[in-house]
Amino acid sequence: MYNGSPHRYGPSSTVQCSQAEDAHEAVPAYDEHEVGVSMSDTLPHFPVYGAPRGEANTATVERALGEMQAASDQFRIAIDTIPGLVWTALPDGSVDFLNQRWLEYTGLTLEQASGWGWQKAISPEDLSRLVEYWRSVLASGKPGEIEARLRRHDGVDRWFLFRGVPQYDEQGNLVKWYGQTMDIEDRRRAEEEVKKQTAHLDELFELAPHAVVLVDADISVIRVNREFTRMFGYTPAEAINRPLLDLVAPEERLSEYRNNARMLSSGQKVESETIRRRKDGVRIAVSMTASPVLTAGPIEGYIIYRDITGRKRDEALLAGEKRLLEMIAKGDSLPRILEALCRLVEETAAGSLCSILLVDPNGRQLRAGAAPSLPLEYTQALDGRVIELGIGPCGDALQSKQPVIASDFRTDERWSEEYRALALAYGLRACWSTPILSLEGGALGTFALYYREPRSPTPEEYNVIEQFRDIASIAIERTQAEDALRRNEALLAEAQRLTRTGSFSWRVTTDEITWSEETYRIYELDHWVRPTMGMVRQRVHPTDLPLFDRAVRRATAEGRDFFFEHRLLFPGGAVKHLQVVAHVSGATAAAPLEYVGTVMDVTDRKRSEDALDRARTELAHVSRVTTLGQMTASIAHEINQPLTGIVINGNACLRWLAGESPNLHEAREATRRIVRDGQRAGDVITRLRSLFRREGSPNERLGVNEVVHEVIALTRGEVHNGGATVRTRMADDLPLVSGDRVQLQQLLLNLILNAVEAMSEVHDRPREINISTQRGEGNEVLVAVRDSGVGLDPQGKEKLFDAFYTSKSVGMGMGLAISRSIVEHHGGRLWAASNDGPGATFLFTIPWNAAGEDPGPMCP
Amino acid sequence: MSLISVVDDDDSIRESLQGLLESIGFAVETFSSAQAFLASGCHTRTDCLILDVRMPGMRGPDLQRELARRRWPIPIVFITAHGEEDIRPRVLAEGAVDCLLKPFSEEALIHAIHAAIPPSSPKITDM
Repeated sequence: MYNGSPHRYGPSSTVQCSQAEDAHEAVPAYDEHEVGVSMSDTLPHFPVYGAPRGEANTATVERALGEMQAASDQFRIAIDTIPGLVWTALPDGSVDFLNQRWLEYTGLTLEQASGWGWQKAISPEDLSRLVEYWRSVLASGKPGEIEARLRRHDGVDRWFLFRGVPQYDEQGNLVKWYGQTMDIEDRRRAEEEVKKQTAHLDELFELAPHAVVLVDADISVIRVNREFTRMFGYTPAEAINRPLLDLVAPEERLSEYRNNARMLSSGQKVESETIRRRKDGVRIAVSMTASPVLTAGPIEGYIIYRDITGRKRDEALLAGEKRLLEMIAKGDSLPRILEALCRLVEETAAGSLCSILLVDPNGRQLRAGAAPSLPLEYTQALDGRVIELGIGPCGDALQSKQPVIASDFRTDERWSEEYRALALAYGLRACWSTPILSLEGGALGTFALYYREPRSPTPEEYNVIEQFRDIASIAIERTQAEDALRRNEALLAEAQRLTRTGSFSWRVTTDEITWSEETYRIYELDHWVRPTMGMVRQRVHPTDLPLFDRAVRRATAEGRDFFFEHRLLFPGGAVKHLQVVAHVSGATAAAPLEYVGTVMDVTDRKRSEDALDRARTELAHVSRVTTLGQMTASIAHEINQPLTGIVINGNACLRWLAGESPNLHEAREATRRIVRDGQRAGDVITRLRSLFRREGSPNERLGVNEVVHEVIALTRGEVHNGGATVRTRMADDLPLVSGDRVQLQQLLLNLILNAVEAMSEVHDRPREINISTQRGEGNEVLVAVRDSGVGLDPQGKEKLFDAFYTSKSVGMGMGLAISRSIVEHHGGRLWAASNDGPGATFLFTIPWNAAGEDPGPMCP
Repeated sequence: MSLISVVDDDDSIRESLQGLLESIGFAVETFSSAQAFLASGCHTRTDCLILDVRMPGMRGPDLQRELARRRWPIPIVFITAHGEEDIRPRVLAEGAVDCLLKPFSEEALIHAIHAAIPPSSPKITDM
């Protein structure tokens, strides 16, 4: 190794594979071999091997040679003792000396290595390069060095720095090359390692998925990576030396400046989320990490930006969506939800005006939904339009059920002149409309974005539109479903209120009971009360409580449905009648027993049933009185006639007997007529007595024929006056029936009087009443009363037996209703049939006592 | 001798009236229905008609109207049973001499007939 500089251009600054620049100044004529070398004083004067060129006298040479030889020997010894590999070469480059270390290291002998033999010790890979370089150095006559691998005696190659320095004599002749070969293997390896790492880091820097920028203490850009260029639009050339604050949105500059100052002064990493401005002016949301580079050198810092515009937008969208869904869940009104949705869309899609139109429930017209930023007049102009192609993008979207993009109304001729003029009048140039469809595919409305400049959606905007369209769809469908549900619930509550039917569920094991509003009303408890079985039992009428408990116990023990009626007793003493029906709900063996059922307040029904019973009784009474009145009139007439006869005959008789010559014959005749009429009146009285004689025993055994005869006799006058005749056809083998004589008389009376009435307008045929009796099917007697009257009105036939139904101009219409109730009271049936010919037949059956008795012929 | 015609569907009334009126001294014709009277041709001779209100077929008031239609001016005394009192004002309004409720007294009957037939022509002897 050199401890000093053997020549003026020192080796202290190593320039690999290059020649020292300053050599030109020092040795202007170094290409000439004759140029002498000014040797440093501190170095020995090396002998020159071989014949030097130039002219010198022999003696001097000899002497010099001797001195040189001595010095050379000393030098060689010195050289051989140093650890470095050293060599010398003649001006032509052939090596004339290699020190011991060199020979030991390579395993070559001096003879082998001398001249150009050293080439054997050079790694073949590097040899040609080295030799070529060595020749160029030789030719230049200037120092040179090159790195190449030297092969050790054991065949291992290691990197060495080969350095050659020429020596010139006083005349400037090149006399010798001195060379040194230094082991640089370790250094070289370290350098390669550094180079590799630097390359990796550079790559990392460039390929980092975030924008990375290196700044100096003035926050000027030193270096940027590719992502930086992509994110902010500045190429490295544009960015470098630019103040980083150029990226910062004006409103963020102050806080940004503070951040940077803090980062650089504290040496701490600073993280923040902020807004940056791209080269094109667009603002983007970024998350920023600023970190100082901790070196001894000037202060620098790395700043890493991540583009969080998408994330921010997604977050905002998500938050907005959440807000909307909350509104939907809370049951906000549809207009409010849709308006909030529009506003959110407008925040998300800058410059857009959002509009939602709804399809009218009639399915044919557009209805305004929400469009908070559109001119009201425009929205109103669309409201109510009939949905068809050409009325605007929304109409088309609904018709085709496809998104419709109108990029520019000025040039797009798909829509009517009128519509385009309308849109343009309000400064609307573009509209992207998407149909909002229900899950089933039905059109609910349209979701549209309007712009004031011509535009087409980007794929990103498409996504946003779809996302919001789906929310709108949920909102509309949900609201509609809720409206329907609310309507149904209201309807159900109303129905429950109207029918006084409440519903309940009862989970038996836990005694969890839920009630509908009406159930609360029925039990007269407040809504906030949590119902329990104990509470229900408290309301049950004490008399009915054992029945109630038994019914409930039995049903729950067997897991069966239950149905029963009981009464409630309220503190004020009021009583309600309840009908309870409960179903076992979703019963599986494993599931806890739960009932779902209804309680119906049947108090009114009970009351009206009672009232109806009373009314029926009263009616029957009234009817009987009325019938008696009719019969009385009939009877009075029957008795009045013979009575009148008797009176007149009596007068006549007196006249025949008075005077001088009484006419006994005429008097006798008159008296005979008196007797006859008297008997006739007596007959009427007899029948009258039979009519009332057994009134006190309603369930006597009767012969139906007998009753028929009695009534025919009683109605003789009515029938006669009605211009009608009665014929009978009685079966003579009828068994006795058990019943109320008066009621059956009343029944027949009604039917006969009806028949007379039915024939009152008949003039073209005989007015005939045919009464027949016979055995009916089974154990019953069948009685038929047939007339030749106007017949049955087919429409009135159903109502015939209703109380107060009448086809007559007079009367209350009670007759047939009472008749039917009498027949049914006797266990029979009453019905009417149209005759084949004119008129109608009323038939009724009365069962005879079937208690094992032999129904022999008992009647006259 | 004045002729009194009696129209009533009831045998007892017809026969008893015939007896009484003959005992008083009237000539009497009886008919069991209005149609029979109209068919008899007696109207030209009848001085007074005693007419039952309620009869099968043509009723008393119907006959009264029919006689008016035919312009046969026969004085009519109606006789009527219980429950038909409301017919009285109507038949009187239409020109009947009287309307007697059965059973009626001899005096009432004679009074009515007197009203129908001027008392001079027939000789009515008092009891």
